[in-house]
This record gives sequence, structure tokens and C-alpha cells, in this order.
Amino acid sequence: MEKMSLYMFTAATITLAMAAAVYLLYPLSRLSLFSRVMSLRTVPAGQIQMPQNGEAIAIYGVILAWNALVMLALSLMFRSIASGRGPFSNMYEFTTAFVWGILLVYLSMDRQYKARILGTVVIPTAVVLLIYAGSLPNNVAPLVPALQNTPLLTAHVSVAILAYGAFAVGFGAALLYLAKRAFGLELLPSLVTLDDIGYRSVIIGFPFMALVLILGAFWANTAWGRYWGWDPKETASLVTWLLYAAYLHARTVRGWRGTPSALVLVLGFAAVLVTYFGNYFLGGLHSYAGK
Amino acid sequence: MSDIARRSSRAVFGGKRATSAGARRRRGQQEEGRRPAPSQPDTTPSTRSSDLATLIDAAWRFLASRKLALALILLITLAALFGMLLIQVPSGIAGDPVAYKQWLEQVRPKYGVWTELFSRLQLFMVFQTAWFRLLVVLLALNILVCTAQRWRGLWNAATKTPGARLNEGAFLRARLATGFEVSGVALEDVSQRVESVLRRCRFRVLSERDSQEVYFYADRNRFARLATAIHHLSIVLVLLGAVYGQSGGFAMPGFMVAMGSERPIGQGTDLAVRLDSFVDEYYVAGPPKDFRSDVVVLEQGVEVRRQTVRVNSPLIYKGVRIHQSFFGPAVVMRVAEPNGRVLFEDGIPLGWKSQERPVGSFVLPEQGLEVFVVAPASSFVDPIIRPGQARLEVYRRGDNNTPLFMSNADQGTPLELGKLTYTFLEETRFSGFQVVKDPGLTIIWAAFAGIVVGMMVVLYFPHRRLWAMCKQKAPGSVEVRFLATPERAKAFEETFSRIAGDAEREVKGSQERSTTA
Repeated sequence: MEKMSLYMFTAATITLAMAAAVYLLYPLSRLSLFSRVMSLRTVPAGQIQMPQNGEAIAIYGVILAWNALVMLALSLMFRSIASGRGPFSNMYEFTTAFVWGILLVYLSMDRQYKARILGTVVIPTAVVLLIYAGSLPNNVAPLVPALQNTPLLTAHVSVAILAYGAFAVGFGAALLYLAKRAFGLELLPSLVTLDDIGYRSVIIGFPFMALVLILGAFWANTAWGRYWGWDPKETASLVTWLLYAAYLHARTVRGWRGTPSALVLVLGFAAVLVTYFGNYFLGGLHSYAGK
Repeated sequence: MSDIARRSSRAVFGGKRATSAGARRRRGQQEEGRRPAPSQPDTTPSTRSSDLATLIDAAWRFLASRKLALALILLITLAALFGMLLIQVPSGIAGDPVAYKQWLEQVRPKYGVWTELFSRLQLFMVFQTAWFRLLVVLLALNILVCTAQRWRGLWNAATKTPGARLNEGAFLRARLATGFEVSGVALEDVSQRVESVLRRCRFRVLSERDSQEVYFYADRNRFARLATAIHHLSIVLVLLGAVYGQSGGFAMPGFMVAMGSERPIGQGTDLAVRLDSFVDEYYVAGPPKDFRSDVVVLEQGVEVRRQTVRVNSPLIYKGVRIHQSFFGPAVVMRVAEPNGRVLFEDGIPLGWKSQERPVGSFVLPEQGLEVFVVAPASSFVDPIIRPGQARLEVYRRGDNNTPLFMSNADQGTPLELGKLTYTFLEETRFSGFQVVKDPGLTIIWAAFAGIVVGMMVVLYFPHRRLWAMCKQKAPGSVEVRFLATPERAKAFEETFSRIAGDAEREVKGSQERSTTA
């Protein structure tokens, strides 16, 4: 079962890498020069014509991403069966789940907005994370006493995955917004759409992030006797939450709409990454989860 | 334009939220039907003469501003950023200048030349400084004032119902507007189908009818907006709960009890903790598997609770919580007078480390002595203290610089130091607990629930409203128009189009039925 989980993980990584390649080629295919070149090829009668704006390439990216989502889900499921608990207790498991969360939120957004170009940022980020996860020790290790609280471990980490996944998509939207502002690329969706995707990601992620903090506090109270102690990782997740709170407020303050808000979104995701990898360098009570 | 229609138009096209006193006055006058006053500079009304009132007004407006909220959030974030990247001094040490200096020397190697600067800026104790607390207090005030300021508007939006009747121009001018025409269906039929589509989408529908026209006003989740007040007030409640918990409770992080010993909790309780046994279990590969302490709680000497305390299972008795925190070695010592009277016999937790040796201490109050007990180091072969030995250092209480006696004691062998006999009876273990009482916990959990629920209600059940009109244009032809207030999120655009599309399909569906009938 553990081996099955690893096979699925490898399959998912390869699939997602292919998806990333497709997504990176996609903007190229949107450029008019490319499609002009493509249309110069003579197509034998009866064969399907490639649409000139390159949208067809993008759909392969989406299909591959859906495949990767299913494979990752299976990988996580097999791992849970093998270890007898949710896949949440070391960085390998958690990173795999994080990527699954990113894909889930991205693909849901894709169904609504069909702004495929978003994948150009989000999918390669996901692949990098997945490759990173692949480099981590992945033996199924039993839980140390502090983590032996299955309901809270499951709840606290699951909502974190969903929150971080949503914020990753918002990060992608913010980067594209800033790119559009800076370079005015036609192939990017409108500023309004990008701003909206960013906003939508945050209203998914922000309540879940609040739940991460609250469930963490509840668990800390049971295990360590206090619900808040300014532990570095606790504080890092508070910083993340505050940055997204700042984003939500900034959107309604004159002079902070548009580009400044997008910058706050980028900062917010930086905070997510710091919080996420904080096990390794922040020290404090959370450091065991990194091993 | 009828009064109702004008009011409704203003609800639709009202535009910017005006918060200044002058704008409020202007709106108030309009709602009474009078013509608006010509644009005036927003000056303080002449009725207020005292400076104090002006000051309070200015303070209120300052505290009510969203810019202040944004600034405070970012400042607190910046402070917390330092608080998480720099090692923070433990709270006991921060208040003691001598201990702080010692601690500073410990971290100097890590921060080098920056150490002095960071220390001067109080960056090693960010969360204990006055300025951080000031920021938090300001944020709480900001939240309270903002919520009070917004409440009227929120309440009105939730309870006041705009009229359904709008003039035709409004339906054409609005940003979110659409419509269609249908022939061969009666006005009543059309309006019924439109209404049913709206109701199916969970809208509350109000209508006004004429002979040739039917007007609808529809909204949903109108009370959801109020949840933002719950959410924001809950944040303030968390802060209050934290203050209350700290002032009305206690926290003892290093509560050590040796096996077989009993130790009173103090802090105004009559409780004592006895450790009957401690077990630490490890996995084959090495990491810890379980820490279990068999704990008995005594109240005024009587056993009232017995439990195996583990890391995720604290013992809770009358609000006092005992959490498994750490453990270590202990020694059992007996101290007797020459005539045989035993002055002291108990387990001493060796909870501190001095030069990598476990150290503990106990007090002989009658003699005014403090005795330090040092066990051999475990990480290297100890040249001074051999296994099976414990080193005793006897001091006069209050004077830890000049030891009266220093000697190694062998296990089981009595040692005479001064006029007393010290016997190192046995090696054992101690279990370290975090003993806490926090009366604010209930408030905290309720406030947390308020934060999350309030947030989710506001974000996931947005207040939506739209107007519709069904008008008999020519005999046999009915025009249907929709309009909505432009909401910030594009999401409503899609819902809006979907509703209009559904209505069109339903109405035209019945048209086909009536023509084929």
C-alpha cells in the first residue's frame, strides 16, 4: 500500500510536469506570430484544424491537471491506509496534500473563469512543490506524543491545505495582474477578471486560514496548556492571516485598490511560504513536524 | 418622478457611501422631499461651540477610518514579523534587567552587530512592549468605533425595503441591466413566471402592480451583512478574553513533581499534585512514543481526582488544568539532625542545567539553608561527579555566592555537612507540568466561533438585490427588464445573467406552449 502511494505520487509528478510544460507553451501559442506560422502549414483535407488562438493546447493542460489531481488523491488515500491516519504528519505528506489543495482550488476556479493563463503560474509552482516533496524522506513514521490527537491533526492540517491552496491561486492571479499592469499583454485576461479571481481566492482562503489559527489554538490549549504563546510558527500564521486581512481592507480604501492590493496578495503568499517552511528555520514548538 | 421612484433610484444609483456629517445632512434633507442644499464645504456646524466636542468629533472620525484599520493591521503585522524572525526573550526574564543582560549575551553570537540596535528598539520583546499593546488597543477601539459607525447603514440596508417601482430610464441606464420581449403571453403569466424564477433562487420578492405594469424588488441574504459586526466585535472579544484570562488566572510552566512526591499548587487554590509514577516510552527507531504521568490531585489533603496525564490528555479539575510538559531526573534526599529528627525527606526534581549537569534545589527553612543537588552529566564522562553520586552544595538562603559546604554524596551513604546529615537515598524521575487556570477560555472559544461564523456568513451569503419590470408594450407583447446594483464581485453578474436567462427561458417556454396549444 505504501508502495502504491509512492507509485501514484510519481505518476502524479510526471503528469503535472507535462501539464506545466503545456501551460508554459500555451502563452507562446497565443502569440499571433506562432499561430500565423501554424496556419501556414497545409492541413490535409479531413483533418481537424487547430484553432488559431491556441486554446486547444490549454485544454490539454487542464486535462492533465485533472489527472494529476486524481492521482494525488489516490496517493494520499493509499498513504492513509498504509499509515492508519490522515496524511498530515510530516513535510512529505503535507506538501503532497498542499499541492492537491492548490490543484483543487485552481481547477474549481478554472471551471468558473476559464482563464487558462492562470495555470501558467499556478501549475509550475505546484510542480516545483511536488518535486520538492519527492526529495523529502517519505517513510511512514509513527507520531510523537504531541501529534497524537487525530481529530485535531486532521482538522488543523486539512483547513491549512485548503487555505494555502486558495492563496496560491490568488498569488497567481496577483502576479498576472501586476504583469498586465506592467506590460499590458493582450493574452492576459482583463484586470477586472484577474482582480476578481484574486478576491475570490481570498474569500475562500481567509476563513479557512482563520480556522487554521483557531484549531491550532484549540489544540495548543489541549497539548501545551495555552492557546497562544507567540511561538514563531503561530506568529507566522498570524502574520499571514493579517496580511490577507490587510488585503481585504485595502480593496475598499481609496488609493489602495488595484496594484497595491495585488502587491499585498503577493506578500501574503510569501508569508504563506515562510509559515509553511517555518518548521525548518523558525524553531519553537512546531519544529518536530519538519523532520 | 414619484417620491417612491426617486427614493428607489437613489437606492440604485446612490453611489459613494458618504460618511461626512455634511453629506449625511444633505441626504437627510432629500429624504424629506426638500430640494438639496447647494454644495457647501463640509464645515463644522455652527451649533457646536466647545473645543472639546470638536476634539471628540475629530477623534471619533480618526478612529472610524478604514485607513487607520489598514495602517494598524500593517503595523501589527510588521511587529509580529520581527517577533517571529528574532528570538524573543521569555517573559520572566524580560522584567529583570540583570537576567535580561545575561540573556542578551547568549543571543549576541547570533545577531552580532545588530544585537544592540535590536535590543534598543525592544525587538527582542516585541509582544511585551508598551507600543505593541498600544497598537492592539488602538485596533480594538478602531474596530468598535467603525462598527458603531457602520451599524446604522447595515441595519438600514437589512431592514429598509426600497420601493419596487422604478422608472424606465433606470432600467436602461443601470450598469447591470438586461431584458427581453415576448409576445403571445399574458402579462399576468409573464410576471408569475418571473416571480417564480426569483423565488426559486431564494430571493424575497415584493411587487407593485399597475394595469399595464408589474414591478418587482427582490433581495436575499439581507441580514447577512450584519454578521460583519459579529465578526469584528468577536475580535475585540478575543482581546478582552485574553486580558481577563491573564488577570484572573495563573500559569506555571515549570511545575515539577518528583515521583512519589506531593507538591502544592498554591495560587490561591487548596490543591496539591502527587505524582505516583511517570513512564516515557519510545518507538523502536528512537522517537518518543508516549509520556504518561499517573497524577493524583488533592484538595485540602483529600484525594479528589486521579488520572493518567498525557500530552494530549490534560487533567482538568475546577478550572485548573495540568498538562504534561517535560520530564527529567530527580533524587530523593533525606536530611536529618544529629538526634535523628528528620528535617526533610522528599524527591527533588533536577529541572535545570548547569554546565550540562542536571541541577535541583530544596530549602531547609528552619536552618535558613538552601541546598543545591547536582547529578552527573549524561553527555560526557563527568570528571567531578561519578555515576551513583550526587553533589551537594549548601548555601545560606539568599546568598548563592559563597557555599557553606560542597561535597559528593554516594547513594545510600549518609554525609555529614555542618551539623546535619544528608543522605542521597535514590535516583528517580520527575514529571514537569504546565499548570494553568484561565477563566477567559469560554469567552475565547465563543469569540473564535464568532470570528469564523461571522466571516463566513458575510463572505458566503452576500446581500444581493435586483429589480424587475414587466410591461405591456403593445397588445400581445410584454417587455421584461432586469437591473441590479453593481456589486463589487463579478460573481453577481453571472448570477444575475443566469436569473434573467432562466426567466426568459421560462416565459418563452410558456409562449411556445400557448402557441402550440
